[in-house]
Amino acid sequence: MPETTLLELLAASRQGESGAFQQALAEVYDELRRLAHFQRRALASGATLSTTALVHETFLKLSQGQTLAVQDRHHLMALAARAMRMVLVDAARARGAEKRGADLAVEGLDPDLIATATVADEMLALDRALRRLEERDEQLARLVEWRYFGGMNDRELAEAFGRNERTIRRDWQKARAFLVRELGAGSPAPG
Amino acid sequence: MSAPEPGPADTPSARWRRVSVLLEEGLELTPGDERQRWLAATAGRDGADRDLLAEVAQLLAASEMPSAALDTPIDSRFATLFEDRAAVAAPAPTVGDRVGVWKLVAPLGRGGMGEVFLAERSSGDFAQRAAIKLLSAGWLQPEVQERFRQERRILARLEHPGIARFLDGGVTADGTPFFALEVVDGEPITRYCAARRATVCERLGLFLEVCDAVDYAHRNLVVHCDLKPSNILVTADGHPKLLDFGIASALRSDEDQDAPAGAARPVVRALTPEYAAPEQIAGGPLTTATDVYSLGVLLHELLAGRLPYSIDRGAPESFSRAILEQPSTRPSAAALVDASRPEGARLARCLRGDLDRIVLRALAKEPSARYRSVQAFADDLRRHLDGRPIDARRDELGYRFGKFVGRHRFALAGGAATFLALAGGLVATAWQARRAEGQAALARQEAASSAASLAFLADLFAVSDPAQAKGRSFTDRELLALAAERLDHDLAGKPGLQVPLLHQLASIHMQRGEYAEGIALARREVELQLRRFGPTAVETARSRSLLANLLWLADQPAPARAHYRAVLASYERGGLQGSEEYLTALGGLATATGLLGDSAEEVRLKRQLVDRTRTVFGEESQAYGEACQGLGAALLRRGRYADAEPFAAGAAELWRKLYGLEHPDTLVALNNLAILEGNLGNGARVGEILREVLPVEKRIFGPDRSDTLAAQRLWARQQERDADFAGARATLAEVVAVQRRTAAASTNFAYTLNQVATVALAAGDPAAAELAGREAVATYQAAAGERSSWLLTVLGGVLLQRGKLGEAAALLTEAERLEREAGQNEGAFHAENVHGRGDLALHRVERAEARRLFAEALALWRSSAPEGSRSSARTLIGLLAALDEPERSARCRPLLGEAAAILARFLAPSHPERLAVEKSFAACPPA
Repeated sequence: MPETTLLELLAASRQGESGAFQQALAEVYDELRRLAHFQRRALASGATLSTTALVHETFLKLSQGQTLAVQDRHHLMALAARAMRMVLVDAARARGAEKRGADLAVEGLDPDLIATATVADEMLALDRALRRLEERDEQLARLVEWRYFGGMNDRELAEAFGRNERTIRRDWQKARAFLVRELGAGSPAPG
Repeated sequence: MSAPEPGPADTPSARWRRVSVLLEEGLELTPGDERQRWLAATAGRDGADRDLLAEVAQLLAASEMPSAALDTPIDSRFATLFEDRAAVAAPAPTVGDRVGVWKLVAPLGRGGMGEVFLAERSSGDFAQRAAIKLLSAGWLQPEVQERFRQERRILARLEHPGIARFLDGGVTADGTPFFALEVVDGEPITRYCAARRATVCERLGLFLEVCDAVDYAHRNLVVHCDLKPSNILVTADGHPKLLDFGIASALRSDEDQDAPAGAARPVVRALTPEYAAPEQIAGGPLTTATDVYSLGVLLHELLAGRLPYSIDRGAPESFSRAILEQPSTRPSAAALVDASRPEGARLARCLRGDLDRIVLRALAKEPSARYRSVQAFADDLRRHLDGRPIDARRDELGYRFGKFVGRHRFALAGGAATFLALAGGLVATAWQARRAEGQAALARQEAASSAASLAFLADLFAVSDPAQAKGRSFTDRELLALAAERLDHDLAGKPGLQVPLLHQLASIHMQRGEYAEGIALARREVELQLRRFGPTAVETARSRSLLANLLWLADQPAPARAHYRAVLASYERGGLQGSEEYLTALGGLATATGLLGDSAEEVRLKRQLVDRTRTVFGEESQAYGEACQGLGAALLRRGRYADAEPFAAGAAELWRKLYGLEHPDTLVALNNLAILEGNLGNGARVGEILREVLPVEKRIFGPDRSDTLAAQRLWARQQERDADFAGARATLAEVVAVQRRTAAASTNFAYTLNQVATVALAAGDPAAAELAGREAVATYQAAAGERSSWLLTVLGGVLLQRGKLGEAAALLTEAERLEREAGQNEGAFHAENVHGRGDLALHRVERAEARRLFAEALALWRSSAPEGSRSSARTLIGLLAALDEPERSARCRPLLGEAAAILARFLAPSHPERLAVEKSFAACPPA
């Protein structure tokens, strides 16, 4: 994956070229998954990467060590955060799918016996809640994505959003309140 | 919460903007009183939107609640989805620190899990020494800690001369879990034997002692999962002692246990990879078979002086690849390798034969191909020592398979294996092994051509050498792309070599989840085969099968189905209906068909799969069990409970036979079966299953795991049906106590309370029912931020019994409105609501309205649960009560007869509800 391609894509997507964003995202997603895969393989040797480190490594890998323009850097971080969210949600789905041998447990089950959430379910619930936040306030949803999935700190976020850190912290509080409420909703109401 | 109809301008985002402004204001204030006062003041303002404020209040409350999902760094919470866990730096403990009652005296070393210290405790004039293991901060997740506490109790019970005593365990002030273990002075078993130049017999003797200790722990349901020489010390008296028993499993969190794919992760990171079993690397469930494997590695090392793999210690991936892919060396062959051991040849002669086979059996990649237990392993060694025929020889075929699979894993990976693993279907390796059976010729052919391909790939990998690559290192992905490119140059015009390489490359992409790339390669492969062998050849079918798997994985079930059909037709023409490949494709076709929504055809195909796996593999095979489970699930999806039952039961019994009762898969399968039996009204079976399963689940899963709670609630339901009201209420009280502690604000807890209410009502205690019903509604609302129509309906019904008609009417109407808004106009829940309103009308002596509603409810029941349910029986009775004479007398027998028949299926003969209906039926005027 030559670096020019991705940077071109970044530029194109910044100029609003349709499809460029998706394509850039696909590239980042691929790279992230490749690295995650490598991480899994390397696990036995004791080498570990955290998800945050994974995002950063993806970032480094894709920027090929170049110093990117600020805009490109933010853009790439945003893509990495989005990709991380997608990878985790996909992994959660796969988990869920694996467990559907427990089809039996879900189907034909009295609604009052619905089991409590697993981590995979929790990730899917978080994703759903985030999508509901997106419907209401896209900027806030981006903030969550970058902070939570991209591991960006308040200072980095302030820079990326062009706001001060205090505003970022307050926005996070708002987003968090919304998500906590949505997550609290738990399993969907029966009936 | 009555929300006004949202106006056209009130889109979610417009509304949110208004909420957001207020929320911001509220968040500035100190949580608690200040916010409450502000809310009250704001509500008092002119034109205040109460509904909006309610949401703001809700959000403020939410902002004050902890959220494990959001407040835990994503790393520690969701990294398990990657089957990984983040390492977090812990403040380093030092000598002199106190840990529980222990004082750290000297550092003993540092292991994968954390630091080890020598510690002392003194109370009065009595001093005790212990080895304290402090676990590094990566283990700090709350769920791990909970699991750790449960396991500690089990560990404390282990008492065996071969196992270092577990003295104490706990959590330090900063939350770091620690273990205090008996201090063992000794030498690692391998070093001990080497230093004394122990004979084979002496080594076997020591090893058997180790086996006894491990077997003892297994009988106490503790697995080690980290057996290695440094954990097995031989003391001065010449006996081995095992350290760290159960620690690995104590640190598995609940999700780890839920999800076999993640099960090994936290452990794997900690343990020494040399001794890890394949399932620990690949992420399969950890069982006693894992310890059997590690003991096999140990025995190999004790006998041959080296590990059963050749490992490049510099390469990070080398271990996992060796463990997963390399066939284990025979101890006899390994003994010859080491030139520095002059006795090598003699030793090799001594090891050849039985000992080779015994070790290799323990080292089978597939857990089910190993010795069933450590005891069986030890018994075989004793047989060998006694000169009796060993058990491992009986499975010569299996042994050959192990080797074959090891050697060809790379080549076969794209076949049945990955697909089935991903499909959640059959266990891959079992199938791989079977693939070899009866297909030796095919295998030899493949071996020859894959050797060429492997050499070719090896040549490619040499490209990653920096010297050759001019300082540039290649990623796997680039290598794969390069390999695909070279296909056309170096192998041009040699389809016989191109095909296996394409197959491998496509398989690699499939394993990496790069389906698009895999599909492109598989298509090329299929095209080549079509040209070489034609569309109906078995060779073409094999390639097509891989393509179909990839298409299915890439979420393209329609083309996948077409290819599967072609594959099956080719195999049928070739007379291969009994082959594993055929069955694999059949399973694929069934799954793709199900995904395309043709569930009748899915059931038909899965039935075929069941029949054929039974014929090919036998009724005691995992493949057959999985096929049964798949068919059971498919039937269940169609609501065919009775048809599903034998398959669900068969699978559960088989898991019990293969894995034992104490295995999570077995327990979950039995739980599911109990649910199914309950739906079928087979109360006796439900009781029978749960009586056996529940105590085991409490022990294995712990009292607060969802499976245990679900089983308890199922049990309570059965107790109620058996008219054991006191028992049912006691069981539910247990669940309530646990959930009040662990899940007080969950919808799940609301459902438990709802069950408490219905049981209290059946037990003739409507006052208690009202209390529980109200709490259920409130809990649900607090957890979900909205009201549940179902819980409102149930509470409404309870209030009717209490004579509170006004409030009951309000609740039932609200429930009806909620259902209408949700577009809910069919199914059991809606039927409950319609019934409830019928009941209300009856209480209000509006008989015509009651008749109308009961008739409507009955129609709903007949479509949602044609075989009848307990609630539908109540509707039948209600309808009769709402009828006027003479119709009432005329329909008395048919209506009550049907109700009595339904209740007889669910309720014990002594159940008051059943008795009442039967009595009324007997009093019906003659037809």
